[in-house]
Amino acid sequence: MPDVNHRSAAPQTMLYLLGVNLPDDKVVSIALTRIYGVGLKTGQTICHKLGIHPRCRLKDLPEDKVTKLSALLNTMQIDAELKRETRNRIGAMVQMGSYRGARHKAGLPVNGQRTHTNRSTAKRLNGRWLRMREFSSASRVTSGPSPSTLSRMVTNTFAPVGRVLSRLL
Amino acid sequence: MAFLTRSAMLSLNRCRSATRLCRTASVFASKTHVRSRPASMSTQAASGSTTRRGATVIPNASMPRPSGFPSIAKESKALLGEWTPKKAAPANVGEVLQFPASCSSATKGAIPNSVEKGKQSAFMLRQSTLDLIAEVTREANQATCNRVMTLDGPKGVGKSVTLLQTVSHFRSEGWIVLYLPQTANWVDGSEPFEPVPGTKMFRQPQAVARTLQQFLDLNPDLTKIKTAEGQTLAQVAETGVREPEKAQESLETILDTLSKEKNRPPVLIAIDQVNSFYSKTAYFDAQSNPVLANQLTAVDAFVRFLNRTRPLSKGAILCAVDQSDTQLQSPFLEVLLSNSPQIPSSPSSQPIAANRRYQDVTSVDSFGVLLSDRLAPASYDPFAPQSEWHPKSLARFNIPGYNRFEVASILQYYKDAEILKNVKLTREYIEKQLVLTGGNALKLYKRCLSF
Repeated sequence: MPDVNHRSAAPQTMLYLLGVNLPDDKVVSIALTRIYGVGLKTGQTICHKLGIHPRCRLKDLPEDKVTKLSALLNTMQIDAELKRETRNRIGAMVQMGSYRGARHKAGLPVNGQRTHTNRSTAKRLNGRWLRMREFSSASRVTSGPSPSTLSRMVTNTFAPVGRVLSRLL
Repeated sequence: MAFLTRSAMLSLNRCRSATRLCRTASVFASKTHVRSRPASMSTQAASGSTTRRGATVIPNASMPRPSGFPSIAKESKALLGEWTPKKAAPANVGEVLQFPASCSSATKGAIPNSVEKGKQSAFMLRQSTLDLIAEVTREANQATCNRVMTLDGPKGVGKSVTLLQTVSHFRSEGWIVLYLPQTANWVDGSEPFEPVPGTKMFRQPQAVARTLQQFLDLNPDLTKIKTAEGQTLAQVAETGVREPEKAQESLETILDTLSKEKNRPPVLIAIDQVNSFYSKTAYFDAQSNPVLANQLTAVDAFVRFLNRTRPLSKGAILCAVDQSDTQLQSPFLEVLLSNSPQIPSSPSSQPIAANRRYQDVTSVDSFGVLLSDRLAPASYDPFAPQSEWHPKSLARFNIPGYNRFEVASILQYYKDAEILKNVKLTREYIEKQLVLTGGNALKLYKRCLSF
């Protein structure tokens, strides 16, 4: 049985940015990938635009750069907006009665794969954008200060639990 | 020990630090060994040492004689002689010496990476170091500095350490020393940087401030030299350290003053990892284009010495390439080095041919077919066409591997310092180590650690 406590033996400082807790000890371009909608390439491009050196950790980032970072992220389609967009597109496909929409609805592979065997991943994942209609961003459970404030808070986070939370959003 | 006579044993007990030298020399005290040494070392024979098999080397008067006779449990710092300019004599070759306190500052980044990792503070005096010191002295006596001396050799042969020893020597002689031991830190993306508006250059305030602090620590006596505005160099450097925004300006002022001012002690510019000045950095600009090393203002300030846009009189420029980091490759610089003249030094019995990886800068083969990046990397190097950035008059100084005598001395030191344990130092053992490592200093050190 793995020890759940071992990762949070020391309190981990977090930067609360746009509704997401980003770990301070990580390199900036990697920490930004924790945001839904930002991958490694986008994270690196953001750092290039803001003049953040490649090995900069989040805790070493000066405040003016943090402000510029949040301003830049606000202009991008990330997090809740991106999920809304995806949901809308899939919903549109279902509504217009297209083949792809029907496959999403049935939870079967969309991109032309075989179904005689090997359709378990599709069965598990493909309907979730439709089932998620009941949740909206307003009802998401947020623990901590309001998304408008940028603050660093010390949390005793259990890393596995944090990941589960982000999947529910 | 079977080689020593009774009188040898008595004189061994008399002098502790020379004992090491005695034992190692006596293992190889044969006529053939004497002939293979360079002519300058015959002074040792003149000072009373006999080199017949089984005899000891009677120590020089200049070697330190400790007061007590401590048991040889562990080599303590008190037993090692200190690096002083007086020690730079052929008679002391093979002796392991401790760096003086003024040079071994424990600040991070003040000593080469290899030395920091290995946690060593004492190094052996080699004939190649003495030759380099003589060359640098000769260079400084000329009217203007005409060439850029570059230490060359395969990985681990002792380039950074030789540079450090030279820096320490000239610092003790009272020269002004500009020593950059870890220039890779400037280009590997670990320093904050900001663009200089209106140009394509980038500034690194914290890195330059740290360099100025190291410069101040290494040269405590900078109050005599004044800039054009009347400030002393020490004041200018201190301003740069206090306010990193002005650090680049301070650095430029200091370098300009040192270049133009004649009324000063000689200047030694020692740059380690010089291939980082001619490579791609880990930085990117706002358009996500990779930044080249010549776009960093800190690097630019020093490269102006190398390409002679900033002349240096009454001084010497010494560089060392670093081949341990594969990210810091500069194929073009390697080609330049392989085509540059070699500075003659006294022959050693174990010259290692430098393993030149990039021999050719042309990008077509004998059939006129364009060669790929992998086969002719120097021709695809972004620095190859930028001739105004190239270093002028490179001169190559080859650092040879250890010869038998040096291997014996260093193994005896490792044994005394308990780096090498449970091993009997016989002639056969020393020969085996020499053959297995080829005289490479780093390989020998790692072999001793692994036992």
